[in-house]
Amino acid sequence: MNFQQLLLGIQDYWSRQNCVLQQPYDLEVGAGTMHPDTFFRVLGPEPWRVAFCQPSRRPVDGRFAENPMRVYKHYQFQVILKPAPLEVQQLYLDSLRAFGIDPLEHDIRFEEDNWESPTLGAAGVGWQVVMDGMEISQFTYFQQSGGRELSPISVELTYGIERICMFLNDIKNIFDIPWNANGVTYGDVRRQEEIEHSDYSFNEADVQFFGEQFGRWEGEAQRLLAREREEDGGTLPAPLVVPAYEAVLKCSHLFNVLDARGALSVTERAAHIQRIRRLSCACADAYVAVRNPDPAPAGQEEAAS
Amino acid sequence: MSERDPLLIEIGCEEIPARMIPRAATDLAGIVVKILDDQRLEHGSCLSWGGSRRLAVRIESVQGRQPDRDETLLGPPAKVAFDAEGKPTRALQGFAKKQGLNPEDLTPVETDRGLYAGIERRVAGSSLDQLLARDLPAAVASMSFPKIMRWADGRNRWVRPVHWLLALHGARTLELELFGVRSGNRSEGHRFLGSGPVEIEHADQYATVLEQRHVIVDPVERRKRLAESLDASSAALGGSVVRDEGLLDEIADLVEWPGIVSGSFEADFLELPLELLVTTLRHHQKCFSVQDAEGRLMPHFLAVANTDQDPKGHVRRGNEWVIGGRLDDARFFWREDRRRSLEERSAELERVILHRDLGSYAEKATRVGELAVKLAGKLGMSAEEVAHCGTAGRLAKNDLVTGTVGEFPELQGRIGGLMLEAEGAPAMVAKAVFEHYQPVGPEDDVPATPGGAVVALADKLDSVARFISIGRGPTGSGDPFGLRRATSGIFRIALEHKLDLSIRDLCDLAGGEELLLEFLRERLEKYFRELGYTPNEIRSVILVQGGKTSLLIPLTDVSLRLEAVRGVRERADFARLVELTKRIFNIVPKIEEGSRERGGDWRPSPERYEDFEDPEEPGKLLRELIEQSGPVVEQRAESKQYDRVIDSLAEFVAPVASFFDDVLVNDADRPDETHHRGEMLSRLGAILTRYFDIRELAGQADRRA
Repeated sequence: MNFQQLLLGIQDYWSRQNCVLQQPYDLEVGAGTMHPDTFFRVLGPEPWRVAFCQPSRRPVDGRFAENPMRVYKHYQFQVILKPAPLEVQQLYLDSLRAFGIDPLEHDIRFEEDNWESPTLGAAGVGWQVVMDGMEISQFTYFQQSGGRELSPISVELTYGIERICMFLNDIKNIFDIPWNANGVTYGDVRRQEEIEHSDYSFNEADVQFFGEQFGRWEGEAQRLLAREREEDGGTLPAPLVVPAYEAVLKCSHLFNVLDARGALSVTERAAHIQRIRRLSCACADAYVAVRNPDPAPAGQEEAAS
Repeated sequence: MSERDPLLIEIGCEEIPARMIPRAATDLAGIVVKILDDQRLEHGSCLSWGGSRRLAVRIESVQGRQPDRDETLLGPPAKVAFDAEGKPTRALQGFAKKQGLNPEDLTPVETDRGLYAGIERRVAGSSLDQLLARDLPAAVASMSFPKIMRWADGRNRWVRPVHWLLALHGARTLELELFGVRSGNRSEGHRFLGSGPVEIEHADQYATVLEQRHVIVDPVERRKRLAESLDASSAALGGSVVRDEGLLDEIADLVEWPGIVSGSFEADFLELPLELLVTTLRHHQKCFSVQDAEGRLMPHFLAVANTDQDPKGHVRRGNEWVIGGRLDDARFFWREDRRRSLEERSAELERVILHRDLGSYAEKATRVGELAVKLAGKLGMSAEEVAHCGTAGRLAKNDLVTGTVGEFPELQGRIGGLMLEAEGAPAMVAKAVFEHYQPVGPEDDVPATPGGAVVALADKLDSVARFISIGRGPTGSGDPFGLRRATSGIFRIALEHKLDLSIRDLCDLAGGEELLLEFLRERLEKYFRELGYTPNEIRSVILVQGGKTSLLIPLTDVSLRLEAVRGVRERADFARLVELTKRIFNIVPKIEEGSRERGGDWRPSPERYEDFEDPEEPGKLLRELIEQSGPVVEQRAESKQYDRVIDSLAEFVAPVASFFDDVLVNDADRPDETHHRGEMLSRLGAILTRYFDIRELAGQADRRA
């Protein structure tokens, strides 16, 4: 099963589970969790089901396309089910069947692994799913996001699709993954980008420029969150939540590059994480305050029942 | 109805973290037993079981219903309840109505608090069903776990979402509800091999039926089967498994149907240092290593699986694939790290912060190096050895900036030592760096080499002293920098290597102040408490001479004295020795007081001792005894034969007892003699309490920890 067949298979499966088949977010992010359709939608009471493949950038993992496993950017397939249905483990295992994986031919285990994202003020409890000794998924019951205790509880499933594809094809190097049935490989599609982004993140990114940008985008997020409008002679809060959150995502990516460049001391690093976290939490608060009061987005009630 | 049947309760849930299963299984059993006991339901012995997807308890021969019992129900006091003619008042009628009784049936009853209206009645016992349904859900919901989660609407809080509840009394299903899940007689077997829910017809069949469904509910049995499989699989590979009991414990709770998969890796990887190879297998993949008859590692591993089947070889292939990648990584890091010497990394330590108030690891490295030099010097090592200890101390932390330690933090120190060895550094230096984190915990060995002992002690002592100095010592149950463990490590190293160091020495070496001294003293008491000494035994040794000098006693002597003291209460003459010591310390102050009242110009001098009129003056005999036996005591103490010191002290008992019997010690008519006797008794008292004060051991026997 090649890379794009795998992607089609998993999209098809979750689409049949009444998920909104979303597209990747069009900003640099480190993980699917940062997609607003995860970060915001797990807040509040509305049911929600979404699935999408999110290219995720992790500058420190860049290896100039020389490492068989680690890359600057990988594809993370992400599913959010809110509230988490009681049979969610079974739904997940059935999704593996969509890849042609028969659990009786493998050793599949759920091993404790609790997830936390300090910059998003998010934390969850769950497992890494291990198949034949290899971690193939994170399975997380979100407990907190944007610094807020969640209710109902959402479940996040993420699949490392490159790893699964390598394993299914018995391939030792990520760049040898067959992308399609016509002989195009992962390396053909991605190698150049990997080499250049590794070089950029580790050697070329202008530290001073990135530092300034971080401050500017932080200021922009604060400004958008503090926006007010006048009404009846008084002022009311009128934050622009999504643009503010996008400014936070910019900060997050700028931070990741600064980190890869080794430009942050230990204390600076902690301080930057704290600054992003504060903004994320403020965005979550603003979202909850202004979110659409409709009980559920169209077509989602049934999915969650 | 009170037929007695086994009770079985199983809570089925999503995969519980392996590390939490043993404690949770025990706790659940405790909860059920407590409910039975509290409700006076008789029962037999109890077994607790657990696996990834279940906690279970089985209790033998449980009563199905509480026995009926008679009780006296009391209403209002008699004077309120009955009018002058003894007829029920409105108050009593109200009470009776509420209780559903006829007011006429209540009669005056005598109680401790006076006369009350009351009635004898028979109360029917509640059934096991009712009691468990009432008490079990809340008790289970309040079980404690290292980490809990919320699920569904967020109101339920437990370790993982609960899916089924099996509750059987014999063949009967008990009606319970837990987190919205109704009980039944159905369980589930293995997640994949178990083929769905299964009915359990009788509590007795639980373990057997689950085994048919590929679940071993008894963790001890799982561990045993794993150990057997490991032996069989390694034998099949022509070797034997490298034992790792800790890992075996860990994986036994990771699976419900244990299987072992054996796989291989490229023999080239055997060039890696042993520690690195074994740790790679263990750390990332929880795999066992295999060795040949000569103890050399073989290019094979044994991994645990939650299945004993591998029909297409996927399980083996997957594990080999991952392990190959991990070993590749480990080799990559090790080769990269070897490109530069360990020494060259010193500058990079400046970027690794120890604590914001304590600067970087570069500063720590300098301090540990200096401390190791001082310590080695104090212990009388040769100039060359002192220099080696200094070098090792200075380089000990350099591997923190290597890629290998970044990947395998538990190899810190080890990697530095291995790099030095590979670089051809003196063996003493390489070994000392290699061992300097030891002991990592109470189970771990202390460093084997003298250099390792010095550097390990210097490293830990520096941490303790520095964190204490910035007010970051342990408080209550919190010890974020592990100072208690580090201090126990210091004591263990000093004791096991017989280092001639006292608490005061440690404090001075580290340049510490009163706070550090007090911390170390307190920890020393705790340390010996944990070794099983009683508080009184410890006080008897470290509070000698008012505790002032205890800080100066070498730790090895503290330990030896405690050992001697431990047996002293069993001696036949123990009580007399204590009594004698007490008597001396009672009378000496009185004599001193009398002497002071008579004027201060009199000073006893040995020459004048001979002027006593009575040649048989008992004080003189006492003096001879002291002059004769005192040096024996000292000499035995010098050679650290503290049990024989006690023998010597016991020899004072008979003569001194007869001294007290024969003489009026405090004799106002004979001030000189009295003073002399007082002085001799004072000297004797000092000898008796010089090494330990057994008066602390008298009275109630105190408890061992």
